[in-house]
Amino acid sequence: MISGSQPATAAAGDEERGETSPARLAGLETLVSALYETSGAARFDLPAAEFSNILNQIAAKYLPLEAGQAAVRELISKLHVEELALARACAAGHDRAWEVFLTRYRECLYQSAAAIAKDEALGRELADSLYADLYGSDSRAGGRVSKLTSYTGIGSLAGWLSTVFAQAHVNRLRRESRWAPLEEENDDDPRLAVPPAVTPIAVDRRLEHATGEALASLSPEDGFILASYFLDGQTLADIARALQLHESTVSRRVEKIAARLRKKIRDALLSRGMSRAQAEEALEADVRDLQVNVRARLRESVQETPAGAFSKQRESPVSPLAANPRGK
Amino acid sequence: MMACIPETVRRQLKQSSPAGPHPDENLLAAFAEGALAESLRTPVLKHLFACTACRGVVAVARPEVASAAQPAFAAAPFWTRWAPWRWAVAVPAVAALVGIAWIGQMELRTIFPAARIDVATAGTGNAPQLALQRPVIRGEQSPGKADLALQHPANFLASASKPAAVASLGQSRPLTAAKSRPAVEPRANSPAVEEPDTDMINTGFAVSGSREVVFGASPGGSLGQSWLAPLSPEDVSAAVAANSGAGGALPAHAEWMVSPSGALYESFDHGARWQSVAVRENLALRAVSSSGDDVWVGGNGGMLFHSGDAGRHWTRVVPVCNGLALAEDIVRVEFTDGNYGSIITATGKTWVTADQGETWEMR
Repeated sequence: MISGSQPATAAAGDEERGETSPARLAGLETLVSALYETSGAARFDLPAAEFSNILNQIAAKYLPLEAGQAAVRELISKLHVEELALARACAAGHDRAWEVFLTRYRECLYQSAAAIAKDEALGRELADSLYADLYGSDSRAGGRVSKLTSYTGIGSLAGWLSTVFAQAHVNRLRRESRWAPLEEENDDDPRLAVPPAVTPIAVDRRLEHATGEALASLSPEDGFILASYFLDGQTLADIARALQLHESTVSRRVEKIAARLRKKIRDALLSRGMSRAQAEEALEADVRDLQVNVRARLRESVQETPAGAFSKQRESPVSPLAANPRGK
Repeated sequence: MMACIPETVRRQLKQSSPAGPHPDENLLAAFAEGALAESLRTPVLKHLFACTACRGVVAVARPEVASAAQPAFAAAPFWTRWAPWRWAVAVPAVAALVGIAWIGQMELRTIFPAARIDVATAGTGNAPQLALQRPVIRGEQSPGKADLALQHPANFLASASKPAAVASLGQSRPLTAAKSRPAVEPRANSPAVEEPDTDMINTGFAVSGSREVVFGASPGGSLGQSWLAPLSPEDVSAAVAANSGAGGALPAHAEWMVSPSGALYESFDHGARWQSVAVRENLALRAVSSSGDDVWVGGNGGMLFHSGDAGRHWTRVVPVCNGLALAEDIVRVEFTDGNYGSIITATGKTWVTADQGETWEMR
């Protein structure tokens, strides 16, 4: 049976020793074998045991220790195993795998990079830079480490490459933003503008708490819609694509979220002793003095996630999104 | 009027920042693709709620130019979203369809008065249903229609000097696919040799040809194929004998059709009888194209499958361009040979490949 309670360190130890039956995959040998066949890893000389270890790493990364066999089965059966095998074979320096990779993704790499950078030359530069990372020019302790080893197959390889591009582009602009004036950066890419700094002033505690509670009561998806639309200025179509929803559905959700927030805050203010007129006035006022730290409210929920699935803090705390690119 | 939020909410959103570590690129990519399980999607969403940096990465990784992954409705033509114009078009169109269907039905009853009897006497146990379900041959250039209905399939095959065209059947399929195509390549001894028409009909249902088959064999039987109007060994023998004796045209390749319900069918006798071909369960197909043994079928949700062995085995192909996979409904598939082909989505985008679907370009 799967040893979901086995410490992650033990699983990692198994991987390092290259054992053929990693702990998280116990009882799933048939599925793993089928996935190995499906992945075509053998044509890239990727042994079954190594493939199994990769799956074990991925299960350990995304699932909590107490996750059962069903959860592991669901996770690994949905992986893009063919692309996973290709990526890992490339990371291992397999020539044929690289041929396949370049045939499939080279053009997409350049096109995706150009689209993200919004400039062909810049995109090519970005793609070349990433290509070096993918090939593993960065050596650690004398060995070549390819960025492709971090691909886990949970999404498509093309999507992963695009996200890596986006991350590199965002990081690059952040680095440049330390030297460039904000207006210039806004012109460069409105999606990556830096929002104006918040200047804390005096605070009405009642409004502060009421707002914090109302925000904390939102579902994660509603929160994402709210922040994307009102803070980042993304279009309804963009949000709809991100959430695989109909644009009109997102439009209705935005309306409902805004109305619900307003009602919750007003009710909370009323329960805190404000009159209805005062509450309405507080909601209408351009309050520039709130100091509520939503961080604390969100920390609890975010920390419920398996730590392995999340990386370290990003390079800069600067917001990469425009205050309102829709021009509102 | 679009909603607005109190400034207090906006201010707090700006001040928020994520507490924990950031999701890695795998999670963000899978989130953008909608591929995350709920157990992972929820914490990612919670993080994105508070993290403008990660929202930025997700937004930037989804450039406008690579909008192939957007739902089909998002990029619907303008006129389809304009309600008055939409109704102005829809009502006459429905009326026209009903009229055509009625006329077609009347015509069929006139032409095929004995159609049910014909099928029943052919030995099938489901004659009434089959009479309504199976496509009807409306041979523009084939022998008389009344004769066709009464002839044995083998005789029809032998007497058909040109490929038959498949048209819509009044009650069972839309009439929008009234355009016909010669889908069968005549054999060498056929007096008339025609170039296959690559202009397929993908509106309502799609028809395509062609492939090399042996009559009577049930190719891919292990895939769960079932004959709508099965050919018996006698039928096969008669067809072969008639063909060899009279110099008639046996179809060199099968014709393919996607039914309005999204099922795939093939026919070896100019569309007189069809058998279903299983590609994958719960698949709603909308278009088919074939060239020799290469058969491509496309359907809802960007589902695209290819068979290199005339439908015996199928492989899913995921067109990817600019880092985004095709997710829109495929309404038309055109492959002129094994390498070159294009697909058209419900939003009017065209995806083109020149290497058997390995790489794609979106236009």
